[in-house]
Amino acid sequence: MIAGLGTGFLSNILILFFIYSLVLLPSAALISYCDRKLSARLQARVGPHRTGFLGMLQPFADLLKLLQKRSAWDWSWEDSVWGSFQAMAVYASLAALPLGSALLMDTEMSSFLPFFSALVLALGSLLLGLNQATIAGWLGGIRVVGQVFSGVFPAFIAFLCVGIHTGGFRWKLLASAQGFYPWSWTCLTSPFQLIAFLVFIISGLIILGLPPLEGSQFPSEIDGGVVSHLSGRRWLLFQLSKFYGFLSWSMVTVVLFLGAWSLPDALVQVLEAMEAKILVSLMEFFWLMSKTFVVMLAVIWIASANPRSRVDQMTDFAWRVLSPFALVALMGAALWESWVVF
Amino acid sequence: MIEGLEWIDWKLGPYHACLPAPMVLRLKLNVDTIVQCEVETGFLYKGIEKIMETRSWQAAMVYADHLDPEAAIFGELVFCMAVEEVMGLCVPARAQFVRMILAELSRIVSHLAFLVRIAKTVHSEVILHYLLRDREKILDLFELLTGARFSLNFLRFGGVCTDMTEGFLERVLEICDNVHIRMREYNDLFIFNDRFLNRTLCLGVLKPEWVLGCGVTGPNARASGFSWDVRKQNALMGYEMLDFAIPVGTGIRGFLGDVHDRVVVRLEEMAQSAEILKQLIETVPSGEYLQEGYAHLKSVPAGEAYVRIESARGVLGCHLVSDGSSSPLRVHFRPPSVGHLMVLPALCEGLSSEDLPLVLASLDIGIAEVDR
Amino acid sequence: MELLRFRKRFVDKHQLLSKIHEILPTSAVEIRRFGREGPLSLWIEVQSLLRLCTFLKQDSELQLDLLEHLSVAEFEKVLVGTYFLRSYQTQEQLILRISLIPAASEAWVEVDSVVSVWPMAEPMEREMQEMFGIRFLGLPVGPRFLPEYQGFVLRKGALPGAFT
Repeated sequence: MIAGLGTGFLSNILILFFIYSLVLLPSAALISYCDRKLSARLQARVGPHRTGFLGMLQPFADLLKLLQKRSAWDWSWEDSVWGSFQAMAVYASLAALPLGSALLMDTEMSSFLPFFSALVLALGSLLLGLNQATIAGWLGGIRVVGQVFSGVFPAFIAFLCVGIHTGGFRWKLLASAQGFYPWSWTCLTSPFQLIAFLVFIISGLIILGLPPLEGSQFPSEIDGGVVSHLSGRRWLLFQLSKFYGFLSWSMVTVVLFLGAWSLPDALVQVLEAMEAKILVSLMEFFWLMSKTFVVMLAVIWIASANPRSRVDQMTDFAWRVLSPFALVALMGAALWESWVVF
Repeated sequence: MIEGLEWIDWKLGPYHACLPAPMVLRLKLNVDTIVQCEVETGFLYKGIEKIMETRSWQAAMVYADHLDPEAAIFGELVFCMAVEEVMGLCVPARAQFVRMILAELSRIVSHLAFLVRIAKTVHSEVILHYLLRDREKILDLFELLTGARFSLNFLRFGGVCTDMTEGFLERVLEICDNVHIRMREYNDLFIFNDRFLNRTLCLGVLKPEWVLGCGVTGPNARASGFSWDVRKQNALMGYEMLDFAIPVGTGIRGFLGDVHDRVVVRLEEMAQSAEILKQLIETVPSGEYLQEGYAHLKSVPAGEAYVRIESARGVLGCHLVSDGSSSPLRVHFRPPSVGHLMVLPALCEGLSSEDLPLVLASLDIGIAEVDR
Repeated sequence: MELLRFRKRFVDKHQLLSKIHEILPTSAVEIRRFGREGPLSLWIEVQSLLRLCTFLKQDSELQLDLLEHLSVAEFEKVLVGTYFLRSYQTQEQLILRISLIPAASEAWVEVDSVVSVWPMAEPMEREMQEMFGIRFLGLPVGPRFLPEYQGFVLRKGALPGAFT
């Protein structure tokens, strides 16, 4: 799995373990803190400021509170079905992330994995809604499916545009086709790739149910009550699965469109000459993570300032605006590549 | 539309996140579309009218505050004016002036709260906090003058409780100037935001025949094109000497009387209230703030009166009957929100269930005055 | 500064009385002023309520098509119903009053409903029905305001003991 580090099986495992436990899993805490502080400042409020310095321990306080909150009813078999799907979604989101040139699982079709995790997430939300045995939950669950289907189509087409540019869907191929500097990123190589980039991000919001295109997944909406009956650990499970889906989608966006983990060539050569392969991997990883966080914060920022759309307005937007743009981008990217390359 | 399936019966309430107040809506849905809607109220019944019959006249005034918790002055005002009409009491000019200032400030407060509810329905959190922050400034003014933010208990028969605090008028002027600046911000960020327009245009159109048939008054009726305003129709309290316009819905962007019109009409009313306040402050009358001798009424001469004022929601009336004793014989308020609730089932037909909270919030229904 | 009262163009008393006599020749009608300086109020018999209301709404001169308020008060064991009428076009006002005498303090009283004339009367009549025990004939059945309460809240002596 970790080809190229060559430092032994155990140290590979240790490195991965540390990366997951110290960076990826706690990224939920970091992003939730940034989200709360950012939204608060935009709304002329202060945000968390009492737990720890500038409220930085707030996510951990929340975690502790949520973990000890018991639900009013026991974990039934329906909850088991839903819970297992959410757990699968979390696993699918996090298991095969491209974390650097050496820390990834690379196959011909490896970059199709985020779609799988997003779809499993949607299935989990559907089951959650149907479980609820109320009208709000039922309507919400059905709406989630409609919403996700409308988002997956343009996302997929936009994704294919990238493959046209890079020549394949291997992570390594995607990363090596892009460089460190912005003009070598996929999204800026041609106007059609830029369109594909925007379509990909927006349809990601639709698929994952992130504001302002949440549609039916907002908890207290009249018919989006998929989440309204959850609290405590189950709510935590739902929110974390959604968050990790968001994280993986943002990371894939960065890898596809925003330069992946590519460091400046000169730097890489110097470090390789010094035989510091681990250092190279770690630097790539942190560069990738910072770009991912920037993308996530940009999404959160834009989300908090806008009112929400209605579900059918959002699916209309996906089918009537995003999909044609994605198809145009696909054809244009194909023509661009054939014209420019030959 | 699925043939052969029964309609879904859904009972929303009395407490639900999408309802602005405790009430029960029994909906029949055709998968997603509301086919029928029945409204049931009475969950906020406090027995105000019965209690007022057992209290002395001055003590009864306090209960009138609770007709509309957000803009309490209107309840007090209508009761006070009814008693003054029965007694034939003249209110000094300075007291009229203070009452008008409080009324217009309460109108702005009520409309800001309306916008907050609309913003909450579309989950537009940024503008929600800005609106609340601006509302706080006016509530601080109320506290400066009367000692309380919401239930003011400030009017007395024949005037007001105390004179204006120093610095009150300057602060009111600041608020007026603020209103125009803030409105530009609300317009850019919220009211004319594309997404908000998509959600509110051509939605929940209140047809003129429903307005006439259900007795809808106030900003809802004005948004449907009727330019009715008690402040212009009856000359009471001194509004006839001021120059202000009555905003009427135009429907240029959507249909006449849709949700967007109702929002815009209330915004324009806020601007007009700011204009009225500025004109009022230019000429501050001097003199008494309270007609002496009527502060602690032992009894009111026998008689009746029916007074209507323009509250923030519509025409608020009070039918007062006195039999010469130390308590009112009968106080019956005519709340504007009864008509708004009556028009709700007609509005809901054919509505998507996701739009229901928005239409409900746009009608500005005050359950406290419907249930009393 | 006196409270300014804007004098409305009240309907001419005699014209109104003569019109009503044409429609309802046998019923007794009494005209008084409402309150100190209010509009005209007509005291009419209970049986003639619906016909008179239909006439008042449809008459081309009066056009009293807004029932602004329907109020009931109890004066010494008599329930007085007051209908505050108004015209959308001419801003005329008129007040109708009827008196209903319940047989006992917990007995129902009956009167015709004016919902067929003014649909906006429905919520007002429903509230008065429950609060005072007045059965409005022709009012559609609807949910009760206070389903758990037995008795008529706003009648005098409804609650045991008095608030002191």
